[in-house]
Amino acid sequence: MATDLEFAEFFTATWPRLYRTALAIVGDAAAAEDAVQSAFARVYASWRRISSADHPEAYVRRMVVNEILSGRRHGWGRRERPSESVDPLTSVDSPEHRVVTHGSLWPAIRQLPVRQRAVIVLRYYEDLSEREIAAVLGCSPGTVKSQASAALANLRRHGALQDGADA
Amino acid sequence: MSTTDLRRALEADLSAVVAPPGDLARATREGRRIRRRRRATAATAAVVAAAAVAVVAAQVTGGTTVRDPHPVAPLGRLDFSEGLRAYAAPGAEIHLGGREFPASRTQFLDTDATATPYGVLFYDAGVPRLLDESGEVTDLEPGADTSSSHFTSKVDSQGPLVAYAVVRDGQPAVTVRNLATDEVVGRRDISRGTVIDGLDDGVVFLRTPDGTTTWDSRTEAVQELAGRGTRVADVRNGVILYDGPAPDGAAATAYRLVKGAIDAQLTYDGRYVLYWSSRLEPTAGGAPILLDQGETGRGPRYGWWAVDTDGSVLAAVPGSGDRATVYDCALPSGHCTELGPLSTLHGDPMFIGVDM
Repeated sequence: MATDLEFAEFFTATWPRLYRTALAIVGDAAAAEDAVQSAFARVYASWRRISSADHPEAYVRRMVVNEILSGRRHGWGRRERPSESVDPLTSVDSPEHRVVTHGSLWPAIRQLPVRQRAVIVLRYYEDLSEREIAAVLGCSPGTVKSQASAALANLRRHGALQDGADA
Repeated sequence: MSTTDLRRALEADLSAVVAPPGDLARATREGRRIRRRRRATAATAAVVAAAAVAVVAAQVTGGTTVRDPHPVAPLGRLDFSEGLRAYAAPGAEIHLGGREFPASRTQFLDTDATATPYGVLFYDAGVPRLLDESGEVTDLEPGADTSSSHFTSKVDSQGPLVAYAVVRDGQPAVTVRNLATDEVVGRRDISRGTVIDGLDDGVVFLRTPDGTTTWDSRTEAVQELAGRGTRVADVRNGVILYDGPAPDGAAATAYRLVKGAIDAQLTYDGRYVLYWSSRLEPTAGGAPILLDQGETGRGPRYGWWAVDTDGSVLAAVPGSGDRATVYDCALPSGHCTELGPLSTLHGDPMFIGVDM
């Protein structure tokens, strides 16, 4: 069926980056995979509508992030992790998931509240504007600005960013 | 490290991650399951009819046809004064006319139900029926072929009219009925596969594989509207919302044409487009209407919306966890009244008979 072929192409093309975004926010390979997989099931269920959007990938990215933030399936998004138990992204066992560390960056990111983490990833990895991030998170641009400011302050406090670094 | 370095570090680190292969088969399998749940819920609308259907069917057809093997008790009086407010949580409950019924009471019905100010029109084994405000079910076409699968219907926002297809003696026909007087306004034979895409001020928009025509049920006038590539998404108050090539047939001159998505809806006055957002875009310039609940950004947002039978907008706004809150939003003020919570645990909320 043509629509299934279109969905398959979209799935193949967008999965890797969406997975990386999810991984950076949730910090756990299995949880990231589960979040993206779950979002794509919902995408398929509404494919006709989503495929007609101007930017289907943006729509799906939003679903992935919301899967994580709402803890829709496993409550991962709302889990509070004490700093002692925070595993940096580099601690993912599987070598194919391993990332190169930059000093204290990932440990510091992992200690951010999940919404601040999402803002950092969407701003500096996905390169979204404050308005676009607000659309993803379902909040105002002002809230994004304050979350970003708090996140950068936290990263500075943990030594991952230099004082006075531009935002 | 500066934020510029932060950007580079994130890109470098995450680019180094080898993403595991996604499971396409699982996504489609689970997606189909979600679709099935939605359809099952839509059947809820029929809840509606559940009980009455079997009873009424027997009464109307002289007991010769038993369509519902599991009759349900009559629903009792409903209140449609503020629209049908028909919505459902898959697998949980259905709300209709200010009352709530458990989903377990739903037996069947289907996604072809159409919400009207006078009740829910649904098909039972090919026969259109109306669940009205009294909670009773009326057979709109006694004697229609009961084996038909020709289900298509639309409601008119400009008058008490509904258009539906029915098959008699093997011949499909479209009927326009005045629900206020229970009189047939017009009837016209159609070919199998004809779909009713709209009904506006008594004019029916009929789509076949060859294109779309209009049929004025009062004057019997038939005109070409558009070719096969055009899809009429909605028609309200002289405004056609279409997808694909612009309608260029003779009938098009009588309407204001607005291009939009096939799953968008027009407000009853035709002045705004509702499209998966609490931001209603104007069709003829001016400011958008922003509902005071739900996301108001441009383009599709996370949430669910529909134009109710009184012209207001129903919005289900996702909350934390597996809950949404349903609102009834007045136009043009955009002021929303909370109707109550709704579970999204087993699927997206459904608006019965008015789903986008």
